Amino acid sequence: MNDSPNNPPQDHNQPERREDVQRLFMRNASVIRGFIYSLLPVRELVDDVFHDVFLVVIAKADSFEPGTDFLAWVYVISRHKVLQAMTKLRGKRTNVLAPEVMESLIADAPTEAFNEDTVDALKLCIESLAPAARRMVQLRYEEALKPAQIAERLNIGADSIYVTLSRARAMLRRCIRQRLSAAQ
Amino acid sequence: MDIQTFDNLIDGYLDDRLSADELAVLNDALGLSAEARKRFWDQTQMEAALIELAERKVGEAASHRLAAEDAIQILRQLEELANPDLREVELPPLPIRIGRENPLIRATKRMNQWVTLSGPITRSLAAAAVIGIVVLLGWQLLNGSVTPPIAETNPTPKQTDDAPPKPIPQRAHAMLTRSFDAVWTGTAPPMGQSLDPAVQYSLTRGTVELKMSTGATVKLQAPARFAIHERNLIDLEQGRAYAAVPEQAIGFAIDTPQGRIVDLGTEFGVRVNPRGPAEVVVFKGLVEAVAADTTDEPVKIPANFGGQLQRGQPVANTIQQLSAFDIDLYTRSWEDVVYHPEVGGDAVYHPQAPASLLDNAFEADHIQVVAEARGVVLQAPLSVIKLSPGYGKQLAGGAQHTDIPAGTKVNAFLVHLDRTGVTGLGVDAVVAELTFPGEVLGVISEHRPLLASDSILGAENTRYPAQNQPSFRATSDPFNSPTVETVRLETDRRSLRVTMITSNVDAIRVIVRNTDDDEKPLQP
Repeated sequence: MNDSPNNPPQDHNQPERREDVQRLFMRNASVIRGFIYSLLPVRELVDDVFHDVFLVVIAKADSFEPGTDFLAWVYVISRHKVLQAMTKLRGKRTNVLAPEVMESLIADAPTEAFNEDTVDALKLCIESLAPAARRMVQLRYEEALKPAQIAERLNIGADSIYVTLSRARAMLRRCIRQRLSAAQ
Repeated sequence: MDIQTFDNLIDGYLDDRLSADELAVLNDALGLSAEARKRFWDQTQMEAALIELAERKVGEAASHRLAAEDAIQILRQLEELANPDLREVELPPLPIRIGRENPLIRATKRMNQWVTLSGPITRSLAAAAVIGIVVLLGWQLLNGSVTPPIAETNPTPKQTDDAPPKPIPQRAHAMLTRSFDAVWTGTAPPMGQSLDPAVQYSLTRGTVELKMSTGATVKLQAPARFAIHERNLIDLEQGRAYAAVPEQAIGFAIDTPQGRIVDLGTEFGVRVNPRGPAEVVVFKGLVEAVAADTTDEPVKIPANFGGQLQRGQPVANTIQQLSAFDIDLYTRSWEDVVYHPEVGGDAVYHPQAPASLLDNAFEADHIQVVAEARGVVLQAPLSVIKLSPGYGKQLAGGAQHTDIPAGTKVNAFLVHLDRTGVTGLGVDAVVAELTFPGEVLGVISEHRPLLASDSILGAENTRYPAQNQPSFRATSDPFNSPTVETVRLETDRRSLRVTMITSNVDAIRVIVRNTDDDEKPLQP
């Protein structure tokens, strides 16, 4: 049996099954966090949901059928936890997707993780940004500041922050595509 | 819906700034279109990757800054883990994740909540990870990689809240020497004259330069509130300041609500935010910093380092090395403030124009932005392509024009793309992101108007093509093709996004309002 992220080895007893599920979860941790974040883009809640999902995954490890789609199984668990967490969004967020849209998105959720090649490409692409854009990325993601907080920190209008962030994201998407294409 | 609009909606969703209508549009698009959902996942997965990368980086950096007392606490936690009485806990294991806050404390807190001692792999991995980081930190401390700041034993006296108020002398101690785009609330200091030591000034927009009577010069960026009651001292309630202090002015100080910074022969910057700590960055020499409401010794901060001042908190724990952007943010020259554009994307700026802009003479695979004429007063109306803020404009036949009136003082910049050795079709689009100090009045892209304006707005001593250049290609579907050449003026009216594609040479001329004479402070 090939050892792919979605296909754990078969014919194991329960403790080993649990550890196999654990390993699968760890291997797919990035894409699972990305899935949660996409539906619930509030960083302080994502960690909590991620950990809650992990607990449920381990508790239900025996119910996972080896050979079936692990991520799809985890997404079902995550969906429930995300919907629970959305009740905590009041005061934290105004843009929340409609429930039926979330269902459609979950059905089309990606099953491949961004791998280390993507992360390496992203690192290089960030370094190639103009200093202002790179600083914006640092403030937004490393220091986890909201755009309004960045505007206050830099004494710049919020509109400028939004513009610079949008541009930086677009440049990074283009750069990653180019680097990954060149690497193939 | 075009791709750009959809991407803007996703950006707005990620930044939580969509209006109710915009959110409804996004919901509709995602509900109806599988392609939209796929693009949504692509964008949000990249966002998640950015966060993942940032958290890894912060975790590495944070582990290096971890203080010794934190390491001791971690070791105590590890001892508890070894306690055999805890073996009865049946909670499942937790994947250790180094998060944004103090990572080892966070990891061990999680471990105490969830660690299982019946899972050999997880327990040993968890303990090994923590031990590994502690060992690394200890090694770094021993080898001086983590260097605590130097504390002085002879503190500079600082006025405390209990001291009697300082008398305000009647003699002025500073003069306004330059201003750009300045708007004041209340009293505005006249250019070239002394500031009133009894007044607190409020700069709500723009940048100004002050000269102290001691010789120190200070650039202040709005929003800023400040007063100069004493010789060689600025009371900075809010704003960003950059000070260059010559030798005779050593001892120049900036007082903030969070503490005082004293110059010891240097160039340094200070940012004061009324709702948070004050930030000090040192570019040359040395400063001394002490936080208000502490009994700490003043801390010396050397060049290329910065720190934070917060009431009641030690400065020493906040010292860290400056990034290139920190330096750039503070030390832009006056020329940068009033004239040079900020350039990003696949573009490079040339403040000196080349000798020739003929075909193949100035080649690169990126856009080159060239400074041309500066401070030209138009003798006749100048026809330019009209740009509407927030909308991309296709630069092909049929674009709407407008006239810049005669008498307008302008600067010109050429946005130039001459591909290296490429003569065929099928090349990728190249994008430049430009922000100018002044308002963008329009662009010239058609070849005849370009040729006609070369003599008025071109760079002196630069040879321009006399032949017609290929014009931008038109398409019937401008916004759904990534290869269409467009210019997009942002809502600030100073930022441009230029997308160009050419197999040979292409150029557009950007006309910007000149701001060199903006020396007089404007009245609100």
